[in-house]
Amino acid sequence: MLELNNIWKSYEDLQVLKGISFKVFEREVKVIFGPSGSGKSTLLRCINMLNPPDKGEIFLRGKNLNAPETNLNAIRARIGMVFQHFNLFAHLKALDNVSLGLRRVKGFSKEEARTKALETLDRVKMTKWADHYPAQLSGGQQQRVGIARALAMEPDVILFDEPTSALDPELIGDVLQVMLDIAKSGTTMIVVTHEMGFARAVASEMIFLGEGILIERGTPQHFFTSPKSERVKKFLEQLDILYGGHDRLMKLSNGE
Amino acid sequence: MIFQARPNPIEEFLKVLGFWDHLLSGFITMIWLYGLALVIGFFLGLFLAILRQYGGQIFSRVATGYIEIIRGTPLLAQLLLLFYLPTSLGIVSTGWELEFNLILLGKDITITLFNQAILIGIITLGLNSAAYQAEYFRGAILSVGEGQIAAAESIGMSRLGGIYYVVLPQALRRVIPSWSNEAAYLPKYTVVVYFIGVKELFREAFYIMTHPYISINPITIYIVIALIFLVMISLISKGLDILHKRTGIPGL
Amino acid sequence: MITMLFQVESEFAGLIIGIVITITVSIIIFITGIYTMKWYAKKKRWDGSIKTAVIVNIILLILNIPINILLYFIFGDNIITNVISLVINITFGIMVVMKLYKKKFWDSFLFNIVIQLILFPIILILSFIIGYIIFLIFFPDLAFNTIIIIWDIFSLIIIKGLAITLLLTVVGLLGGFILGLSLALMRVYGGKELNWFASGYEKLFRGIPILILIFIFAFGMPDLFWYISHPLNRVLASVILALALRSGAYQSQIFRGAILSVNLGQMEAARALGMSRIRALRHVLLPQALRLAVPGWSNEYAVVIKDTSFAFEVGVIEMTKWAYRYGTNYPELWILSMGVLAITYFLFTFPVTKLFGERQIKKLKELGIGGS
Repeated sequence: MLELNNIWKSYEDLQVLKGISFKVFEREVKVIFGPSGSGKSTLLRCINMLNPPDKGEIFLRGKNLNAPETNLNAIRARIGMVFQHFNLFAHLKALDNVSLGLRRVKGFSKEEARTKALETLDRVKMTKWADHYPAQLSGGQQQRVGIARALAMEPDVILFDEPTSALDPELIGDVLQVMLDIAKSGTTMIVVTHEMGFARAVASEMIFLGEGILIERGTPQHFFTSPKSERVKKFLEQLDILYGGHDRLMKLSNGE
Repeated sequence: MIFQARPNPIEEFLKVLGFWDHLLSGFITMIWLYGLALVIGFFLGLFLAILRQYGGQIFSRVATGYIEIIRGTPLLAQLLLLFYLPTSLGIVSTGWELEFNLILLGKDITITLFNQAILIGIITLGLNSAAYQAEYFRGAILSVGEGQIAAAESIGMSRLGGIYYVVLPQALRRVIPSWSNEAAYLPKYTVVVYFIGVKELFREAFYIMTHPYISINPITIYIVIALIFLVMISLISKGLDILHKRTGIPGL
Repeated sequence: MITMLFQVESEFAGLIIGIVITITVSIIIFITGIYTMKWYAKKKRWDGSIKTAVIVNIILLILNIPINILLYFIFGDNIITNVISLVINITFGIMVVMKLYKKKFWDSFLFNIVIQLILFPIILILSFIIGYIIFLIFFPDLAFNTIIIIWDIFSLIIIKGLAITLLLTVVGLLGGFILGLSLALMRVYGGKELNWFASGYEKLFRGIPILILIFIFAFGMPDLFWYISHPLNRVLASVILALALRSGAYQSQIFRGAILSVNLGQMEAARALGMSRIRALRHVLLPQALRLAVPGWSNEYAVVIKDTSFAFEVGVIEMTKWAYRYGTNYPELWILSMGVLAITYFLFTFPVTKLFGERQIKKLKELGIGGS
């Protein structure tokens, strides 16, 4: 459904992405991971053309996103994004954050947008805080609203840019739970994250990105039992030490 | 000697107040100039700030150039330049004017709303204020942060939509403290137009000074007028402060 | 329009110049149009090739020239001709764009309108410059004359007026500095009464227009300077006093902000070492605060030097007064003299604010000074 073909991107003199290609199918959950600086965030921003790639093509349901005639705004309405630093609209209440896109981009009426927004907030378990401003919400709550904002647009695919990296440890669990629910309900997701527990629970395929190159790909089983490249092995070891992956793995698997 | 025999200051003060009708007409003219200049400055300044931030290489440089030039030259020089511009370009104007009368407490007060000099004055003040206001808006827009417009674009909004629905509502709220500064102090600069003949508050001082029958120490007149400005500016400042406290959004 | 601005003696010479200018300008417009069109088409992600743009422009040229000439012959040079020719230009433009860029009517229409809007000011400015340059090539002595006049005005303003302007600025700023620093210290470390006094002072001198302040002091205070012999110099001194008092109020704000933004920990560390309050202030706080105040202070410098221009209205002979005198003596050169005056002020303010402005803030942040 989403196809990336030979994506190249550079910032100033630095070549950040070097020939990335992969496909994403309906209902798939792709997890992209790797050391920092490997271009993961850049890749996501290429997909929804916030920072278009220098070379290569991106196809969404057959439409070439790089072609001159494509209406980028319409495309972005079909690709959702959840940001590492939430980026909620600070001047709007949670409800309005979710309904803004519906009203101004999709043309819903005030009532329709409100209904849909409340539904979506319910899915992320934030109905109680619909009338709160972002500044009155904790990080985890803000991120859940961010997810709702992307969900409400009913996109073909949602991109997650390290959604839990900026959260305090106690709050990560709630957000991951919401992401698990969404994944189970069939949403196509591309997630950049370090949360291996999440990957192990729902990823259809995992991709390891290092220095802008796609180093290894495979199912979670593959990565956690017998990864091929040395780099991947070292990386997974470090993650284990840092994040105590075991614990979270257990918690989430039990929470299923 | 520094200490001369001066007439009783209170008497002098009352004599000045006797000219309340002139003071009032000058005051209203000043408010009129101030209001229009502020509005022009607001919209033009906002436009310039947006152009500077989101305009792309060419337009943003043009906007920056305008702002730097206006801020780098004295208001007086700008006024003098613009004043003779129409005649240099060959536009001849007759002494047209638009005025209105009001009768208050037995005195007939005439206030000119528009004439050649007033128009030039308003335009100069507006163009000047726009450059300063643009700097405040720019600071506010910058403080909103890159992520907001990225988020707006990520849900499919166009750049303009993002600016209008996401950046501006936040920037305009953040700019209130510094904008109040400019708004409160703008009346001071309206004084400069007296030089091209506009009958605003300061000009009235000269009328009172040169009155054939009643002679008052010019200093007293100036001080009275200075006090009027002082009071007015304090009131505006306080008022904007209260407005700011009332419209706060948590976290902005 | 170009021939209107320059009066020429011989009719024939005028004709030649007119033709040369028109041809050169037309070529420039043509080339500008091609590149603008290419840029804009690329921006809208249409076909951004030079080839298409060139073809469009050539076709438009071929179509428009005969029609326009015909119109001029029929209707003469007036508003009707201009309007009709504009409409025809746009119509042809839309048709050609629709065909060659393969776009619909509405898109082509907008495309055309935007191109025209962009081209119009560019062409205006470009043709003025080109026309002027060509004119100067034909009449070098006139060019020389203009430059001599500008130089005349400039040197007059500078040589005669700069000294006084700088005197007013420097002494005014210095006075304001001492005053402002004291007031800021009063407000931050002074206790309730001093704070109240300083705050009141600030409000007072920020609420009065500088012009009125200058008048009050120029007419009321000269007696204060009874020790100065020349009456005009007394007025000068009074104006300086007015500027200093006003600047002090604003500088107080700047210094107060700077003092407050020095890390709290700095003073704590200094006191912990055993320094007295005053010592700590002098060796730790002030050096940092003064560095932090530089950008705001460079701004204040710009404000004061611009405020000195008001002094001419009470008779002080500084730069503006000379430009004004020149302008009233030669009214045709008023714009020129005011322009030169403005540029002079600009030369004195822009480099300073740029140098000591935002760059300083960045440098300071790197050093870790400020930012509590």
